[in-house]
Order: sequence, then structure tokens, then C-alpha cells
Amino acid sequence: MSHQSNLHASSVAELAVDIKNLVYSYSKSAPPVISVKKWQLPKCEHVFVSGASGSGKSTLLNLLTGTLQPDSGSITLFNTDFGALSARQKDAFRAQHIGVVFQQFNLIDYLTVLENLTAAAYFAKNTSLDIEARARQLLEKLQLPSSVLQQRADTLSVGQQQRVAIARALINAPHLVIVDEPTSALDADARDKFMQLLIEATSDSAVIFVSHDKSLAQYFDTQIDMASLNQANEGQV
Amino acid sequence: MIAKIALASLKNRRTSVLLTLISIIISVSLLLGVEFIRGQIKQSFTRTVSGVDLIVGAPTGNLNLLLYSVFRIGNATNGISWEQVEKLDDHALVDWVIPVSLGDSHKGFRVVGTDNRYFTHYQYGNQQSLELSSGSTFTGDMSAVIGSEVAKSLGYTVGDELVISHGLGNVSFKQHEQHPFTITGILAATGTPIDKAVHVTLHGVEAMHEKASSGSSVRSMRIRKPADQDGPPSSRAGADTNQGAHQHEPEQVTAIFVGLTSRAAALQLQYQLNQKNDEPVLAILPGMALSQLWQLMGGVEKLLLGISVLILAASLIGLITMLLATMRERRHEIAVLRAMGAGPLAILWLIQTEALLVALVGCIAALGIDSVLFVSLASVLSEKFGLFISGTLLTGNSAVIIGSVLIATWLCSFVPALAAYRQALHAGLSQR
Repeated sequence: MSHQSNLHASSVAELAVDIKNLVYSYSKSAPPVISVKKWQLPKCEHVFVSGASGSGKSTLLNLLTGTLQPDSGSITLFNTDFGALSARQKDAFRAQHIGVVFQQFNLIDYLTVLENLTAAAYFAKNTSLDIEARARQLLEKLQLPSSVLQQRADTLSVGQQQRVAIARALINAPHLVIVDEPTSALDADARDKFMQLLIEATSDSAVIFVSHDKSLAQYFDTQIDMASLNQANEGQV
Repeated sequence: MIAKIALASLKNRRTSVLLTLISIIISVSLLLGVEFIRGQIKQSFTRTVSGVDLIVGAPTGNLNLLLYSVFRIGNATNGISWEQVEKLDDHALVDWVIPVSLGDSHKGFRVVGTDNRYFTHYQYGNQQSLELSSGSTFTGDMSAVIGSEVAKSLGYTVGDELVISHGLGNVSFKQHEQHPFTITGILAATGTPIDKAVHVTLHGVEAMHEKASSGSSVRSMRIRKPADQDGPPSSRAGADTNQGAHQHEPEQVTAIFVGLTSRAAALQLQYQLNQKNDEPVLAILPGMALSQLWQLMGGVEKLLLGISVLILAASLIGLITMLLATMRERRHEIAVLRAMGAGPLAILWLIQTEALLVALVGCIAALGIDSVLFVSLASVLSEKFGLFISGTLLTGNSAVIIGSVLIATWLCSFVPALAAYRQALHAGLSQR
């Protein structure tokens, strides 16, 4: 597939995300929610995106993962023109190269931890790895006992669910990790611990972390506000 | 992996899935059961008589004569004279005749009065002759040859004595205790009503009734010199030597099975007997009478099949409703799967796999339940309805039914699967 070969070329480009003239609105008559002239994210860079509710943070993430189609403009991920991919290619690209951590962690309740992780590997058609070994390695890195692998997701504590959600996002060794307000329901101690684990575990990936809590910005290389991103911003983040 | 997720998802909704499963099991059981019984009835009837070209009895309906003479269902309203037996036996077109006299019973099993020609000429299934599993055919007036089921049910062996009751009920107030018959042979299993019959000599029956009724009434007899009696050489020799100096020749018999020298002559002889006979009789061709029976049963078969299909349709609608009803609560799950890289087609296939898994488990369970049911009810079915169950449900027809159910399920599952597909297309990452 074309995006795979382009991905190898991206090591030269050194860019994880390259957005140009991106516009998106929920209806033709409504003003655009997203209007970004230019935004670039280098590989392995961790960026904190803040913004008030309704500022378009989640919409931006949906555009980056291809679950929403922009009205105009382009999104290039690892040197691959994302807009030029078919829906199926986008699904495959997302599964192979993008890991997502949700606000509510969004594990599939009725599956075990191992099944949650192997499902992510399955949809990414990831056959090159020993998934169970990779899962154990990730859980160890995230300070979870491997005994939780056989536990159903809905039997885990909130803290365990957080870490499993990170493990699932990283199971396919993605080049880009998108994190959508995962700390909103956590107290300060739990939030700090989660952030430390996340930053450690994603050291080899580019990270886009979205939150309205600006105090989290300290964990990231750079930060940007949705309001300023939506204005006529230019240049690299 | 899709199957694993589908299975886990179904387990997670076990109550609603179980109820849907039960309705599918019931409907597929009915469908398989109706088809199996239909096949068994046909097979059971078809294999019961073979090689008999004509059946002659007292005037009645074609089906009635066939049912009571061959399948032992119902009763004869009248008999035909022994002269008809002799006349037919002497007829140029006739190869052999088997006279049978019905109307008595032994502990619920029907008694067939006949002679050794029955064991020589009567065939069942694919022109298979009757075989003895032990003993020999009739060796004297008071000898009896019992079917395999009779021997098994009542624990009889060769040499045991049995007493015949008047009439066909399980309980009779008129037992011919003064005239016990001795079992001389036990027939090998045939899977036909023969297995549940007690065969005794016509002469024995007549002698028994004559003494019981002091020579009066229908079962009067006449005395004549021993007649030529066909039979297997081994048994015939014994029969001849053991029979008395004179024979109690019956006045009447219930029916005559006729074998012709040429099957082509069947219609001709049937016409002669039905139209140009001094005594009114009815001659039928067993094959044609069976066709009439199938025609009669065809409507009932179609009705039963139609009801079963409607019940199955209701079950499949229930399955679709169950899946559709869960779509709203599964929006979040679908969004998560999408974020994990599952394409809309994977979501579609997931929903279809769930439906197919429920249907497949339903079909397998229905097959198992029906198999157990038919094995455990086999004796009741043969006893009460004369239906002999043989073979298993694992037939081509069952495979076609199960295949059709799965295809119907697959087609029906497109309704919820497409709803999920459309939902998946628009599922964002932040849906909760």
C-alpha cells in the first residue's frame, strides 16, 4: 500500500503531522469549527493542545484519524496524504500507525485485557509481533501485573483501565498517539501518575494530547491553544 | 478474532441471546422434526410391502384396505370367502397367494393368521425376504412365529406359549386360554409392522374360534384334506408332518396378497376381480394406493411445513429485533472498534457473525434435541402410530434445512449489520 512506502520516506521528512488549509464545519450554513492554515508536528514530539469545550479539539482528532472528512485542505501524516486514501486505507492506516487513548479509556467491557490488546493488533493486521509477549512487556512497563491479562476489562479498577488503555494504544507501536482528555475524571495524584506513565511509554512516538486542563502542559515539549490554532497561525508548533 | 469478539459480545448479553436462542431452537426443531417424520412415514410405508402385485379384500376404500392389511392400521369391516383364495391360487396369471386373517391380538400386538406361504413370498424393503433369527416357520396348527419387537418386548423365546385374545385392545375379556400357541420361530427385525406382529396359522385361529364359539358365527370352518402349502423347504417339511389328518380350512379371510406371473397383468386381473366377480371384492395395486396416501398426506405435510417456516421466520425476526435493539447501546462499542482500526465492513461482519453464531448453535441444539426425542419416542411412535423410526436426523434434507436457516439468518442479519455499518461510518472517536 502506498502509505507504507511513504511512511518509510517520512524518516527523511521528519514530520508526523502536516496540516495545510484545513477547514471543517458540521453543516454548510454553520461557521467552520476547524480552520487551520498550517500546522506541523515533528516526529516524536509531544504536543499539548488545550481549549475550551466546543473549541473543536475532538473534531480535530477525528479529522486526524480519518473518521471525519475535511471540507477542504490537506492532512499529511508521516508523508502520506491522508485525504487521498480510501476509507479502507484510512482504517488500515489508523490501525497500523495511530494509537488512541480516550477520555473514558473505552476498553471493550466484555473482552479480557488480552483480547482488548489482541483485537487492536488484529485490526492493524499486525502479525509480525508476538502480541501476547508485547502485551506483557507493555503491562510491565505500565506497572501492571501480567495476571490482569485474563481479567475482563469491566472488572479492572479505574487506574488499571487507564494503563490498559495506554497499552492498547501502543500495542502496534504507533508512530502517532492521540490522547483525548484522559484525566478529566481523575484526582490530582492519579492524574500525575497517569501522565508520567504515558510520557514514559510514548517516548518513541509523536503525541497529540488534548485537554482543557492547562496544568498538564508541563509534561509536553510544546503546547498550543485551539483558539490560536484556528486563527491564521503559521509555522511549526 | 471477529468470532471471538462476537462470542464474547453474545455472552455479555446472555439473557436476551438465550431467549432468542430458545425460539430458534424450537422453530428449527419443528422444521427438522416435521421433515424427519415426513421422510420416516414415507420410508416406513414404502418399505413395508414389496413384491406384492395386488391386495384383495372385502369392498371398502382403497386406502382402508391397504392400511389395515399391510400397515395394520384400522380394522377390516368384512372378510372374503376362502373360495376367493382358491380361485386366485388357480388363476393362470397368479404366481402365488398369501391369505391373511386379522382381528385378534396378543398383549397389544396384532395377530396375523396366515400360512407358510407368507414367509416364502412376502417381501419388504428392497425386495428382501423375511428371515428367521431363530427357530422355524409354522410346524403345526398351533405354532406361532413372532416379530422381533414382540420377542424383545415380551421376552419370548422359541418354545414359549402364548394365548391369543379376541379383538385388538391391550385388555381383552375373551382370552383363548384353552388354545395356547407355541412359538416355533422368531423373525429377524425388518423395521416394519411385521416386527410387532404375532403370526399364527389360519387353521389354528379357526380351530380356536370354532371351539370357542361352538362352530357358530363368522369364523365357521370347513374340513378338508391337507392342502398344498408352499413354504421354505426346511419349514414346510415340518409343517406337513405335524399337521393333522385333516385341516380346519377357514370360511373367510381378511385379505389376500397376490403375486403375479407378470406384473404387466396386474391391471387386467384387478379389473377382472373388481368388475367381473361373482363375489364382490376389492383388488388394489399397493403402489397406486400408496400414491393416493401420499396425495392425501401431501396437504398436511405442506401445512405442517408452512407452519414451521412461519415459526422460523418469527424467530429470525426476533433475532434481528434483538440485534437492532442493541445497536443504540453499542454505539460506543462500535466507535471504539472503529478507533482501533476496525473498518465498517469488519463491524458489519461482526454483527453478522453474532447472528450466525446464534443460528448455528440453535441448529445444532435443535438437531441434538430432535435426535434424543426421536430415540426416546421411537417405541411410542411405533406402538401408537405404526411409525418405525430408522436412521438418524443427519441426512441430506436436514443439511439442506440447516443450510437454508443459516443463509436466511445471514440475509436477515444484513438489517442490523447495515445499521451498524452506517453507524460505524459516522462514528467519531469521542462518542460515548
